[in-house]
Amino acid sequence: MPIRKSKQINLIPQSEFDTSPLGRILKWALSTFRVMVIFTELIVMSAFLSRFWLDAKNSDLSDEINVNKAQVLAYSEIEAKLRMYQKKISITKSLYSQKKIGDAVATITKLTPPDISFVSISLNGTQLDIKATANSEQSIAQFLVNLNSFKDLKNVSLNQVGSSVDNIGLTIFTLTGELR
Amino acid sequence: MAIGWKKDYFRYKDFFLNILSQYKAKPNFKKYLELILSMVTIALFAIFAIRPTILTIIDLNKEIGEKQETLTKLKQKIKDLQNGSNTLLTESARLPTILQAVPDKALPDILIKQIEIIAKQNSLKIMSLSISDTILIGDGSNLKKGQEGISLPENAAQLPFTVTLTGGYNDIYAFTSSLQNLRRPVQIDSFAINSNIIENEKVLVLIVSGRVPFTL
Repeated sequence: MPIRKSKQINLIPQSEFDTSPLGRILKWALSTFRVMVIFTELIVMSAFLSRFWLDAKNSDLSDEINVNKAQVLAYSEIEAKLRMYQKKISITKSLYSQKKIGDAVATITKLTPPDISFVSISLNGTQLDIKATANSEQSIAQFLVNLNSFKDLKNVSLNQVGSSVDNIGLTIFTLTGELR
Repeated sequence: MAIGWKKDYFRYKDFFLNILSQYKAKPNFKKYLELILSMVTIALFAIFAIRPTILTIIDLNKEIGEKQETLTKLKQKIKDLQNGSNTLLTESARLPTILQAVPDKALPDILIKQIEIIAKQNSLKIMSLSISDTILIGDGSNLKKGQEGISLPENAAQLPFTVTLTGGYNDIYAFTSSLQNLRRPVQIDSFAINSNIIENEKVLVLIVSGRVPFTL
């Protein structure tokens, strides 16, 4: 078996290029610098070439946008018409979806005990005012309880209670509430 | 000025012309010459060659992205407009109803006629009917705003009215329902039923104030 030669490491510069600064710079310029230049050139060239494709795509998109803009412009009259109808429908829809005052008054009438007579019912915005006469205070209390059970009405309160001037046996009272 | 210039010149001359002496004086410079040159080259190439190129490509890509988004939105709009146009065609028979509900003019005469008809249908007697300030001609810029409280939906123009009627309770109830179900939708602002004595007879008086919308 042949004797294996041990590897020797020699750090002393072998060529003359390695000894002088100019030689080292020249050696670097021909090796590392060259690689850097090639790498940079590759990046710049690939970007330059990709610009052809990107510019073409950009130009195509601009053309397509112009065509579509013209189409939208051609529809401008229809768009204005659609917007006008949409506005009208929206107004109508929101006004029709409001609470029906007639229904609220009808429900209040149903909740009224038989011995209560209305003097006036008024609704201002959502504020409901009722002025009525009753034969007994129990009827007024019952009416209040009934109104409180009406879910479309809130903050029901009894404001004034007194005897009627025309008929002493009658109690005249005022109620207020807020329609939801 | 001249003295300042000369002073700076002598100061920076030392920095730039003594590179060789600095190189000879410092052993680290000798050892890492290639490394220093490589780093300087990388920095120079990165700043002056790669950066502008990459920036240009990024800008272009961004522009393309924005244009693609615009195009998508335009296409969607065209599609929606086509659908809308088809809907206008298919619903053409019902479109006059919308125009009757919210006309382009105040048309107080039509509202008065409608109120008179439903009052007559429900056997109510009209005691008074008044129409408040409204825009008959023009854009309404000289009309006082906010005088009728909360504005109508979509800030629509409004035709305010007040009607006073007398009749039976059931008729009043039926009239109110009819009024709220008119083809021209009504915003009722105030509603009052009073029990009054007229000519020695107890009658119910209904006072309704409301507004109907129209667009200019």
